[in-house]
Amino acid sequence: MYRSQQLAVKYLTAAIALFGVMTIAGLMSAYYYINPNFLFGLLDFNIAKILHIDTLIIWLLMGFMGAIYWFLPEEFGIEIAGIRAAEVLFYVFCGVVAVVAAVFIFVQYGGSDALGMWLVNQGRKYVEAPRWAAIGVVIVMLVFAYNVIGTAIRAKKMTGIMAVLIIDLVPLIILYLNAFAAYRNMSEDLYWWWWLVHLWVEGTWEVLIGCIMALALMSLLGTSRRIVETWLYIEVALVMGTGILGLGHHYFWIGTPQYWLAVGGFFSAFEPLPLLGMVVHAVYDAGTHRMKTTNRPAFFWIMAEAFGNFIGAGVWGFMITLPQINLYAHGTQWTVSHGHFAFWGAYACGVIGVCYLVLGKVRGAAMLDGIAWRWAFATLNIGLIGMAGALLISGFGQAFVERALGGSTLEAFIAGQESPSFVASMYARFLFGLVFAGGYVLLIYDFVTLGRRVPARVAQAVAS
Amino acid sequence: MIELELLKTALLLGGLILLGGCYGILYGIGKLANWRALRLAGFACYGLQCVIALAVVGLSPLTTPWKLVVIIGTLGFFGIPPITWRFVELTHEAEGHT
Repeated sequence: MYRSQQLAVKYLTAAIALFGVMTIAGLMSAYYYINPNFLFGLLDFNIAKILHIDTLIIWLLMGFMGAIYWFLPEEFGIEIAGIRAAEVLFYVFCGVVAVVAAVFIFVQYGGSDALGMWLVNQGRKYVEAPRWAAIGVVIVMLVFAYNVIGTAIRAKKMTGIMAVLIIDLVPLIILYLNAFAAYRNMSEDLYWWWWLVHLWVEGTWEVLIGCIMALALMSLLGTSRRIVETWLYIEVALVMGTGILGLGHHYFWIGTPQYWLAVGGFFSAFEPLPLLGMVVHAVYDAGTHRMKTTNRPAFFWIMAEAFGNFIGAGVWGFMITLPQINLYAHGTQWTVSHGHFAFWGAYACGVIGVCYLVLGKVRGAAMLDGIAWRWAFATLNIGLIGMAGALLISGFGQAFVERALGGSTLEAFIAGQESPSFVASMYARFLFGLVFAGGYVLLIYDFVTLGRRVPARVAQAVAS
Repeated sequence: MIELELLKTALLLGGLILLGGCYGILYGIGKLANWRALRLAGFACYGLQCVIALAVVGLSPLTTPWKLVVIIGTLGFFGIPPITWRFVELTHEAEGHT
């Protein structure tokens, strides 16, 4: 195994650990809606929510990096350039994440001045990490880019997937620089902040996961390079074609010019079309391989990625993407429901799939299968669908009671929060959150023991 | 009340895309299994998708340009499964995969 692949295992392990932190913080965030006095004055809702959404970003980012570090030496046939720096920065990255989490939990609030932004919290959703930590993230990403580009130069080789990945790394890093902006005008701030959040999640990350899935399919199913590269180019063209200007669907009600209503709504309306193409392709792959593979969990999680992406981003997104409807739905739990489902489908399933693929290689198992991964797969997906469903109902209730009937007044907000559909949905969301957490525990059990357990059929055959 | 009509429209739009997904999946499985009934079920889903699109056009308070977007999008859905399928087959055949 290359050193880069050993580093990949560390990154994927850290990603899965942070997935657990995200789950715990998410459960806490859900519980505050049922019992607002929970940890009152000690650890308020906003801190749990920051931990929940920031660890979401970091675990996925670490998962992507782990996946790339795994495939990179296989792609170029040599050890990656700058491996020592990458190894050191892994520990720096983990240290930074731990310190930032400790600051969020124990310090919690800084002053609304430069010192607070540098040391405690930048105050912008998803990129709350203080500036010193954000600088650390930039350094990690720059070294990551050097690892990829430097290896291609050293190997004197370029593949289609790697070319797409290298091009993608440029906006990935440049857009993150937006985390440092500090505008006094809120509309201006949100305008640029969405460049980071939307163009990362619906642009550069889509391309990144597309590259990772292309590499994973070659490794898992032996799909030819020409096929995956052709599809990667098509996917990138379609996703970027609709996704870049789909940015406008975040500009509807934040004080931007009115033309964004037309631009955002129009391009967003076509975003589900490429996702349907991916679903059809997934059906083809699943069928031609007759669901037979030596690594069933990886195969199922990668298939789940295509379907989850379509439902979470396509179906859930399309409900609220037209500006007239978004006027009532934005900022409600409806959006939260879409966010949960879309992140899960588009990214989390893919990263878990890669974890299984890597596990299969690391453990040297000829065949990866069993019962535990099925239970983990089922409970995680049922938990997620249940949470997304409960959030959808509560969001619909909010849009109905608070926005449509109540006219978005403070009184209407309270009425919306107290409506039976909202309250019942919050309980349901928490219960499904517990199911999801149970699925996470099963996933960890499976990760730890997979390939080390003797399959029942093999044991039976040996005994007889 | 126009606000409530818009919220109902949102659910219709969700159903519209979901049926598009069902069309794609059933079409694909029908092709794989060479099972005509499944492909027909897929087309039935697409038919329902068209009915929902017409309901959006006829009943929702969306303005004409947005109704046009819904219609164009629904028409686009029709072509995606067969075109994608054919393209996937061609690329796999060219590479000697089945």
